[in-house]
Amino acid sequence: MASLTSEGNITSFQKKGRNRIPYIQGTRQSVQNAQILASSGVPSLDHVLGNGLPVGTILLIEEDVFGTFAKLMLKYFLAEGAACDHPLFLASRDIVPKSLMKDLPLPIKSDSGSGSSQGAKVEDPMTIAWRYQNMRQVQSAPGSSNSGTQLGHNFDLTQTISPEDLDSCDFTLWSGPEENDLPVGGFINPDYGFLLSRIQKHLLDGQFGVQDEPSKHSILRLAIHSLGSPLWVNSSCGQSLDATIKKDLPRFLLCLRSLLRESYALAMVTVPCHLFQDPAIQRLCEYQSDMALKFESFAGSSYETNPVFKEYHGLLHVRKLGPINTLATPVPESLDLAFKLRRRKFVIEKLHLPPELQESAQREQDDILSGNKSFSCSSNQSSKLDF
Amino acid sequence: MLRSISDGRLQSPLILFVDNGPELYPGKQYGPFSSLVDEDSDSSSMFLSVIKSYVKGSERATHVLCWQRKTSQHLETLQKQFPSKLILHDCLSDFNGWIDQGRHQSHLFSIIDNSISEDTREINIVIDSLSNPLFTIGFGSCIQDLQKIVNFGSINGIKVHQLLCLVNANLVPFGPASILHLKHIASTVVELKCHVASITHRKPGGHIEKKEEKYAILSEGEISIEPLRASALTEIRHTEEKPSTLPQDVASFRVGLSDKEKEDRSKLVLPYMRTSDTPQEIEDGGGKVFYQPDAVDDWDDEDPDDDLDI
Repeated sequence: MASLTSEGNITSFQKKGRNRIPYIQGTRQSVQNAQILASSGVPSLDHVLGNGLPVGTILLIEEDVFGTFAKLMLKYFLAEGAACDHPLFLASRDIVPKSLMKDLPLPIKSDSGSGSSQGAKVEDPMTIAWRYQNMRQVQSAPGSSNSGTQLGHNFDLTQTISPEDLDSCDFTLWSGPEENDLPVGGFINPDYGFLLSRIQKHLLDGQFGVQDEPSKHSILRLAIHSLGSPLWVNSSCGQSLDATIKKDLPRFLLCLRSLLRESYALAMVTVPCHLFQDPAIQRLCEYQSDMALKFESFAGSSYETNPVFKEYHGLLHVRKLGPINTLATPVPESLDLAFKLRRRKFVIEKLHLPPELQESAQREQDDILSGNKSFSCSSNQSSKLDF
Repeated sequence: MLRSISDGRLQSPLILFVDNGPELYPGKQYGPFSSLVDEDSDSSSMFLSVIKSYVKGSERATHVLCWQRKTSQHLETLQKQFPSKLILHDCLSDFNGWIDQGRHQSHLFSIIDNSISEDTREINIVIDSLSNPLFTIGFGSCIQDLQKIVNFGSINGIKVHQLLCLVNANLVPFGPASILHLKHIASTVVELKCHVASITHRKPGGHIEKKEEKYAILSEGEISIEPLRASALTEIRHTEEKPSTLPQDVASFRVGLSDKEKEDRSKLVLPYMRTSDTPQEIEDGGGKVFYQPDAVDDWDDEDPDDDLDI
């Protein structure tokens, strides 16, 4: 018996003659785990997630309170798909999906930003501190150093996609169940089942399965906006709000994930986690998705006027980086990440404290962060350390 | 901001007033009959006062869905003054359609559907309060109707310019969770508590404006409003136009240098500077000591290691 299995093992090790992974526009094979990667549309976000989103996975985005940045992420995700000729699928009950599609940003053709920074460097040589001349510049935006091998496009938020380009793009919109749909999966709120059956049908019809052999492989980008929002409350729900969502939402994500695993597709799902009273829902959703990010916006919060965060518009919390085709996940060099929205561009950066320019007895950010805690070792209550 | 709401000037499709009820003081003993939920609460009369001035200020017709007895009683006199501007709907009587089948309210605005003719222009709707229909019509169905107004500005073919509604935070089907859900879909939220209104207004571009205002109800039903404090504006600031805190803005003298001054400065040779006219061998790393003997130097020609047997 033992010899038989060992023999079987030897014969089963065959090197495949042809490369089984087809070339798909807008994708690249990961050097770590041979997974196909596609860009999320934000180069700095790709860098945080290990150079791109692996195809066949779900990226869960926990929305900021007013949903502004989560919606922006969806726009980038879809715009990247439109720029790479990927078919798109957008589902939302909260907003009119068509209005989001009309708002997609346009890709920038050439990057002129790096050239101007080079010029500035030569113009002002260091005469005294010349040893620092050739030091590497600190890159606070992750992934900006290797812009030559960048996977995705850069987008300009001030320009939106033209109606002709939108017409030529292959997209499907979902805002609610239609008449002859059949729900699947035994959800309490049948809407989840309606959406799932629609996605399943779309994957089948478009031949996105790994077994399928269409004339040209492409990647379906699924964007689901605000899943589990008030609009997903069952019109005849009798139990508490959280109990229904707790059963339906993780189940939906699990079903979606199993569909995606065997298809050339990837999904970005935003969930308004701040609406759930039960923290277990958030954990379950994170557990059922492959990667999870939380956007914490400063809009309307006390952080907005805090001098520590003056340069940023919010914090990015990496909640989960799932191991895909590997045992260990690639961990970005820093997990203290913040984001800012410029007029044209959204960037994720390592969180830096601002330079101290005002003359003050004590650094003000220390007060704010430590609250009333005293740092002095002695028992006296003076706030300064006396030597 | 409260003033601009009551004059109908604020551009916002759905304004939600949340009545948080009276403040409970910890440690104070409350009698067995003290009521947390009071129809005649202060916030509720404040909302009615807002409605009265809203009806007078707006040029559109205002339809008020009365889900409380006192709403219709309070507004009756005003309706007689402005019959074309204010239309009252009594939602409370026979909402299940047990007496008259036609009065059954299957969704939030079914009572208006019957009373509006095709050629009506935009209208404003006021719901006082939302707490009852959330139970009788259903939470999910109400939320979906409200969302349609936010998204499309119309419902069942009726164009709705603005919708004002009051909800009592203690009188909702699923407790605090439902208030969170309602706030999530509203474009403007006015939280009423202890004569203070905290207003959170979402602008269409995604900017957030927050205000806190103190209000008092005067004897004639008018309200007086004063800002509590201008809490800092929250905007999604664009980093390009951030205010500079560089020293030149605070200094009383000129901090920068002109081109001429920069040129002069660059001519000055400072210690530790790497000058271009250094000899080649020094550049290459070879060292040499030049020493100019001083007049008082004790110069010794002897070999200092003479006594050693090397």
